[in-house]
Amino acid sequence: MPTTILIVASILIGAPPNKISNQVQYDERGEVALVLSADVDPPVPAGFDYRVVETGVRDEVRIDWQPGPVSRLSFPWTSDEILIRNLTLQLRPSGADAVTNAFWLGYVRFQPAHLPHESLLEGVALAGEADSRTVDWTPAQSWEQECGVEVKAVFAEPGTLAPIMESDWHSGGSLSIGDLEDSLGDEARVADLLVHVRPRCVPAESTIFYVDTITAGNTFSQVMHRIGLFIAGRKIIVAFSGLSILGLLLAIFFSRLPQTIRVLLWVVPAITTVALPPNRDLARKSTEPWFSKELRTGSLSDKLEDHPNATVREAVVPYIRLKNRIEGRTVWLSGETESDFKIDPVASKMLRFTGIRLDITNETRDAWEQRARQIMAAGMNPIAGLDLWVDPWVDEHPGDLVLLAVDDGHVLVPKEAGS
Amino acid sequence: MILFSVQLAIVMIGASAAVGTVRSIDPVLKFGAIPALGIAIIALTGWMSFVLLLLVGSDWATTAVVLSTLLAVGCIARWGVKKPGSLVFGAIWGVFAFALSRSDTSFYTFDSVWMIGYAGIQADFAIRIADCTAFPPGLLGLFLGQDLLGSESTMWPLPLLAWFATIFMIIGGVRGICRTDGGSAAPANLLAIAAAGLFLLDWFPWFAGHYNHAHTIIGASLLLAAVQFSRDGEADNGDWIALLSLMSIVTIRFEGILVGSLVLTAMASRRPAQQYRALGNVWCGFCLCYAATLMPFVLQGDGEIVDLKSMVGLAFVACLPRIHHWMSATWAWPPVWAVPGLGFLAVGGVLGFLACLDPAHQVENALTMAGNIGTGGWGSTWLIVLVPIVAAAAASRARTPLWYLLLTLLISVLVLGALRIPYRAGWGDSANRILLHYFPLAILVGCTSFFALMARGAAGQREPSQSKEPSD
Repeated sequence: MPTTILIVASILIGAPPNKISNQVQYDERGEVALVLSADVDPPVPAGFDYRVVETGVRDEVRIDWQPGPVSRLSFPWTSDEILIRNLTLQLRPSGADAVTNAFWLGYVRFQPAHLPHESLLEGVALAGEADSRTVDWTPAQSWEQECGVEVKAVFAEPGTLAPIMESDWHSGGSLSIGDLEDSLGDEARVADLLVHVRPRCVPAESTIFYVDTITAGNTFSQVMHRIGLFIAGRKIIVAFSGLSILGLLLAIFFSRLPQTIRVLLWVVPAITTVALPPNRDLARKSTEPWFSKELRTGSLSDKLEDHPNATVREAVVPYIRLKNRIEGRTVWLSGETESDFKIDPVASKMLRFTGIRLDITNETRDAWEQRARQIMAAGMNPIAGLDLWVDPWVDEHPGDLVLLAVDDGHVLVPKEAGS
Repeated sequence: MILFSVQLAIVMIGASAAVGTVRSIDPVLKFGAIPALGIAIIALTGWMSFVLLLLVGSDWATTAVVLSTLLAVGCIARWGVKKPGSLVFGAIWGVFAFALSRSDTSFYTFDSVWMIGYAGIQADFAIRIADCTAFPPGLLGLFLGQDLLGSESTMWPLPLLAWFATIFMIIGGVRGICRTDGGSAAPANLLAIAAAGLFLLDWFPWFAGHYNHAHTIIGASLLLAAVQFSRDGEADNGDWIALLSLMSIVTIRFEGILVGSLVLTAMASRRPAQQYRALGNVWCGFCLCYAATLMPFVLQGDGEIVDLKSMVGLAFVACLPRIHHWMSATWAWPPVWAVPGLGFLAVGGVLGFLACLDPAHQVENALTMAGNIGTGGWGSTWLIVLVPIVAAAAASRARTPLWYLLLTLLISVLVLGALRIPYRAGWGDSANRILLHYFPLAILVGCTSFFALMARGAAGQREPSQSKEPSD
């Protein structure tokens, strides 16, 4: 009966820990709230209000309207744990009336501030008359130079920004919204007009990447493997593995020794071996922010040396140069036919046995291009469901690193993916 | 819902069940089993509550919590209320749980993120459940009125609780098995502690055990069931506790039916015949009921979760223990001693058949899995563990039912791989994570195999000298 009472009482009177640790904070609904601060580049100028909306499964305002200027945003989260969020910075003229005036919306993604990287996509400098029927905008020069921009108009509910009606994406520097507005009728007067601007491709200077910083489950293991990073390599692991097997054999057959000693003969090297860091990359991954911002051009092999953590899931030919460099990593090559990539059977076999996975699919160039566009249109969650595509234009661009995404980590975008 | 209260309830229920039901079991093992038992009982009562909820139509969270509590209290009243030891053990684990609950041991990966996002649409999810009168796996968090297990349990110390519980169970299991295997106390105890060290110091389980948050719980539950069923002797309530652990795996992992059936058939057949039959009946009934609640998804053609083919297969697999018992009772075959080995051969045969159907697929799976064991974060761990296990193939004494069970479970991973897209290289691969479930059992079997090999070596060297003695 005391047990029963204790259980019932504990259910009734226990205290909810709203704040579990310094690493992750929870709001009052128990949702995980992460963990970003972000540099705004270019800064939101004076004369504009800004807010931050998280998009994804559901849109949620993370920072409500604040007056500019601002060059750095802080979120009520700490930086030890990073969870990628699709954050959009929205701008509007300060003091704009939410009922009647037009609004502009810059489209920006952020990186955690402690990563040495500027904003993923540069903010869009927008200008125009609040009551203009044609949005006159000035996109970031780098976008324009790189591959042009696209623009979309969205009429949204004031305050919530829930879309009422939106246009397709249009190429070029201006977008007439008159037709849209007419079709809205009276609703146009109570809608916020948001103008989305995006580059038609990812500018060379910036790279979309997905940051997945993983912190091991406990301090002990982190310490062990930080130490291990310095003292251990595979050779040591192999040596201790050998010792372990030797100890095992001795323990089995060296029966004249006391049993306790024989047990120790095996378990000491065995435990030592197990305690050594199993994988430098993973160990490092567990203790450091893990990112790659330049894994985009040049030879993959060189880049992999620069970024040993990378697990490349997609890469482009000339794969033959890769096979000795990316052992243990998974590289997916896919295309319409094998001949697209000039893969000879011997090389294919070697790829398999060096841990490279060859995945030929029926993706056509058009499908790939469309997919690439979709990804970049979404602009932000390149990890979901991306089984990759090798650039079918490899013959036209030999040596380029093409392709998208990486297991747990990176996105590699072909230079002309959106063009 | 109040998290610490749930945690405390879990350990108290587990403590009561463990202390109140399992009398002959190693105390260390019994102590370690507490969180797994608590989780199992609550998960299952939650599942039953959910079914009732669908019937009564009231607020499901409230109903689930109330019914769970009532059922848990009923379990305690039936089994453990008079045992003061449950209070002691429960208090220790409760304090432990409280301390652990002060720190978050989770980390975030893509899947975790996905789960959190998924949990964010819980309202839609609940509506869908109501529409379908069914639910998907991952119920443990759901019944609490929280988000899914994978997200909400970021605030729970359950992974760590299960982790430490597993250590105790490994110690208890190795110690018990080695001592009953004829070993003296000191080496057996030393090996048991070393086994815990092997488990504790390995880095990858630490790393991955808190990812998606269910692996450690499953590992603990599986170990508990395997060790309990491996015991000889009369039937006791510990068998039912072990069965509860297997059933809780079903509520968390879809392949739990396969895993549980393999464990039951291979191991529980060693229990007295009547007990085995009863266990098989309950297991079969539970799995079929559980599978039936998934049927609406099948009928709706929601192949993301299950399809009709897999449902039929699961139903058959769920009946395996019962089929086996029927065969034993009717034909007196197969003999109990041969069942684990036959199970291994049977699963191996299925694997071979599947390999014939799609050799490239299976070869790729096998190579990927082997590669992941070497490079997928495990380091040398499986080498250390598998060497004595493989060596045990040469020693009949070391080929215990647990040994066969472990091998069967390992190759069953490849069987599962035949039913899906190929496994992939990388620590986050499905097969690599399933290995986490079997890792505690592998440690146990590895150490006991080593002990048996050592004893065999000693016996082998003693025999000549003993044979000499008379002549001397």
